[in-house]
Amino acid sequence: MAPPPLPFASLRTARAAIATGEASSAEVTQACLGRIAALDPDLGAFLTVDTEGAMSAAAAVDAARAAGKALGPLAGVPLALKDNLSTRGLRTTCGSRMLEAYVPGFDATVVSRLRRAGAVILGKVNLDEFAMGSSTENSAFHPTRNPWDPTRSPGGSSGGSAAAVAARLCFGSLGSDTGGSIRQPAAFCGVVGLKPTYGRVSRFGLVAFASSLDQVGPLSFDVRDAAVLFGAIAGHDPADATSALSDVPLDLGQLPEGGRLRGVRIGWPREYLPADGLEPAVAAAVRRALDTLGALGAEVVPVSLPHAEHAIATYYVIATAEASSNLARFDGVRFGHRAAEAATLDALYSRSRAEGFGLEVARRILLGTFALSAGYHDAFYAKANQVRALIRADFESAFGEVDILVTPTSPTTAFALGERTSDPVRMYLADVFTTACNLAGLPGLSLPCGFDDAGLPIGLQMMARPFAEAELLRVAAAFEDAAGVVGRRPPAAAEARP
Amino acid sequence: MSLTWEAVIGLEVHCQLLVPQKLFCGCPTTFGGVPNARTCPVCLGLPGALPVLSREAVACALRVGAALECVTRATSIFARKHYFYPDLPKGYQITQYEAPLLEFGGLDIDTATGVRRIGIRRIHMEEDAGKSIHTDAGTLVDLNRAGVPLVEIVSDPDLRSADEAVAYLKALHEIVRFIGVCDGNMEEGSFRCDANVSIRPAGSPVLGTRTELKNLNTFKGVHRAIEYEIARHAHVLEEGGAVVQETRLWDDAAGRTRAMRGKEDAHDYRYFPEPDLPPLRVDADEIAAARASLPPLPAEIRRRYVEELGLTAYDAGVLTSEPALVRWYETALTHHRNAKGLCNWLTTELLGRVAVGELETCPVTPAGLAELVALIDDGTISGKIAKTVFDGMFESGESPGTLVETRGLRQVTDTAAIEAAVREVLEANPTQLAQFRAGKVTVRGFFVGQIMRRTGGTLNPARVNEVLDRLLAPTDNRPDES
Amino acid sequence: MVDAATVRHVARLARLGVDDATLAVIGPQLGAIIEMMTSLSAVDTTGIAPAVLSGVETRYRAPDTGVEWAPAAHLENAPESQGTAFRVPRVV
Repeated sequence: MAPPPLPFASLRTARAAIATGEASSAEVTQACLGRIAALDPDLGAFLTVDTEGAMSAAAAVDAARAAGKALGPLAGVPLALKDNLSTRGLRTTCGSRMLEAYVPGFDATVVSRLRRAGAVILGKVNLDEFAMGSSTENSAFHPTRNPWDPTRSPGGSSGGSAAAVAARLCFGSLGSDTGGSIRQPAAFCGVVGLKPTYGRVSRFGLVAFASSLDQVGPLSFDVRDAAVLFGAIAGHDPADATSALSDVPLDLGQLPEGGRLRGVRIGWPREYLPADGLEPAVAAAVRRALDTLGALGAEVVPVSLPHAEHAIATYYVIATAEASSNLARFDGVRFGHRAAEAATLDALYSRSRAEGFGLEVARRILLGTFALSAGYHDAFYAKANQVRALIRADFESAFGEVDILVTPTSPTTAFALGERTSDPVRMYLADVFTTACNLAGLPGLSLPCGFDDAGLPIGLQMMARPFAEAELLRVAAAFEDAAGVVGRRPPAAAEARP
Repeated sequence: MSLTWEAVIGLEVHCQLLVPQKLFCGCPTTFGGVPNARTCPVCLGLPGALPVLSREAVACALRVGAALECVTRATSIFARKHYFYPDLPKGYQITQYEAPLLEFGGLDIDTATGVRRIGIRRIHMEEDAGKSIHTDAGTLVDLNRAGVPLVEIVSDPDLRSADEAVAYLKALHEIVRFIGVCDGNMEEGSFRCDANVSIRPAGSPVLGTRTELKNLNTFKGVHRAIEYEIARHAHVLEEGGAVVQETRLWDDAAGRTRAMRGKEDAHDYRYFPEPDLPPLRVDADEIAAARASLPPLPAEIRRRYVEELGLTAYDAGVLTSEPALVRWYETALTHHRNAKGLCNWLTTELLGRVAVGELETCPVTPAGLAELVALIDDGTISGKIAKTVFDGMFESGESPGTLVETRGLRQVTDTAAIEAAVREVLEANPTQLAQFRAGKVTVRGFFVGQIMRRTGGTLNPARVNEVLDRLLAPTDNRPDES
Repeated sequence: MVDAATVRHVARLARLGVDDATLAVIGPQLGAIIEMMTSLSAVDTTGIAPAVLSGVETRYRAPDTGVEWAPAAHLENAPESQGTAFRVPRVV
């Protein structure tokens, strides 16, 4: 079955067409559902497709438009949600056997904000179990394939979110990013991914992996779409005590076309260029990107992040420690998987958890428990939090000199499925450029900056000061306009060109 | 060998704070009811739910700190304490560990050797767990209590006997109830106590190995458990053994403590700062507001009642047993300053009929009782008539003044009227009068009774006695016998 | 630096059943990761305060707010219940 083409090139044009009546949300939604039906059996991006819910949300938007009611900023636009965002009445698995049958009774704050903005939720997309991984191979259900090359990983953990956007199964998606889980799959799949400042987007209803690092953010076709989605989900939420009060800039989607960057200071960390394991094609693409930024009028200078090399170790200590705690609630008592015929409470706990959690989650629970346990707490958990303070201070000092930091998103382009599953350390080291951003709580964005010889997309990471998403998006949009890579589609979506 | 042992005891007391909502969600804190009816995603520990701190609970904890003269930390940190149990929904309890809200306080207690100050090491805020109900069909989990705000008040190991421990506990119980932060209900578990007990040779500066006693549900239980444990430690040590550091449960029915089932990893709680909650910052204004909101504490009130109002220590103790009683009594005092009289009428007559909890709705108001005592004091009615008036107040809710007037209970002090009444009785009872004259003086009481009965008790008793004696006197002024 | 006994102890703390076959696979992996984490010991952190949620002010709950949810959901998701209570094997 040939997939129907996606009728619009961006979320913004789709929203505008639906608002004017040029297209109905039902048609647009139907097109997405048709593409999912045709392409997703091979791609494996979706875990749950909510046809009924999507069509009824689309019908509601069309009816509202017909009645002349005001439409929300995402009215009628079909989106996909990472399956660790709680959706009322729609199963939320976290890619885990543990939650295979779990149906939340409430919406995550970001989900209710999307609904209020008029979005149509197509369903829930794949992820590494509990967002732990960089390849989406840790999903308990099935791996997701990279739309650019089905033998390769889409990255992770938001691999389903990135693949669904890259294959044009939806007009955008939400992912979550704890150490790069939005940005790295965005890079691998040739789409834009934004991890907002810690505290900028509510975590309420996001099934926690590492509470001090997690942020929800958008994945999209281009930077301006990311800005629109970000605007819809960002802002203070009284249900999340770590949610910031600062105002979200309005009209982020209205970034000027062909913007110049005069007066913008852009830094590239010496510690990252070159770096161990950095593929030459990636390094070359990032250098070209720095030239492009310079050509746009920005001042491009090297900066130093002296503790950058310790980010991965610091990250894995803190993230696993918090994960071991956050995942303690999955005990088979109130929800989730319970082992059959456990005769004692201890058996119920240890068997339910052994059966419910996959290997990577088990590894991280054990690591985190170890890092917090008596005798090791000071050398691991406490030490990592001190180093985290040093990493944060590095960024503060760098942002005293520059406005935007530019790095590769990942040292490589998409790797082959199965290539790294047996070597967790190697898998972890691939997070070298993304974890520091979470440790420092900064906004970070990945956008396409080129392709390697195999035709795989290369991602460029930009980071800004806390709560400076507006500037980050402005610079990214200017780069996107100038670099001219955004139009290229993966083979799976090539026929979707309108 | 016979050593004299000295006990070293510290108490950890958990108080449920009297606030309407749970510590980290809006669920009500009321007790009992259908299991899990008062729960939500936050207190059920559902995936994705996040805690948000209750301001009222913090204000309440600050009041406890102010009453126990603690130092308040400007920045305190919530932490996660990890252990697995079915009634602990998240697999960790949100508590405070390295940086508690309150520290370095103290509480004065009366001991055999006089007043002694017991140090309060720390007071921290935490959430309560739910309840596990063990049945033959399995353990049932009710999370209605999960997330109810608690403060844990940890004493220094300053207590030296079971008596002192109970005195401290009672003083603490009185204070938290008095300042309205805890209902103090030990049966329902809103005031719970664990005891750390060790012994050492008297005079030794070295602490012995301690055991932690749990399941102490009454003051008496606390006393018995500590006595038992001190004796057990002494016995173990005197037999040449060593006390094992462990948690022991008090079995009240059996009158003994027993070790809890082996928990080899029970103490690796893997604390770390709660990343879902920013540090708790309280400013000087909040601390000052807590202090300003405190009523006078019971020990201080008792001192004032004895020294300034002249009450006995016993009466002062009765009046300060409940904050509501103090409020009632002090309101009455503003209407009439006869401290002793009001105290007697309140504690014997009124509390003989209603419980303290019913005072607020009782027909006898503080102003009413004060008016009654004032009527006695100015001689309008006698003490005896006052009881009748009091009955009327209790039944009808009318003021004593109204009752005295409408029922004609005003005391008669007019000598002529009294004399007339006395003569009337003597004349009506010639037989008894003759007996009296013949030397049977006990008949006098009969006359008094008759006089009072005829006049409804309104005659001033002192005057009646005076007149009666005069008329019965053997010489002059005999009643006319013609 | 982590032997099988340590892994077993940690697994017990985490109430996570780990059989011997799994232990044989992940034991060495955990060792390698912990080795990587141990690199932090080389960082001089003398006098450095640990990072906390800096900059985020104390946030109190508005008393009239609650989670909007379907209250029956907690029982629908319960693996085992009796009446409205959750049920687990009898705790001795």
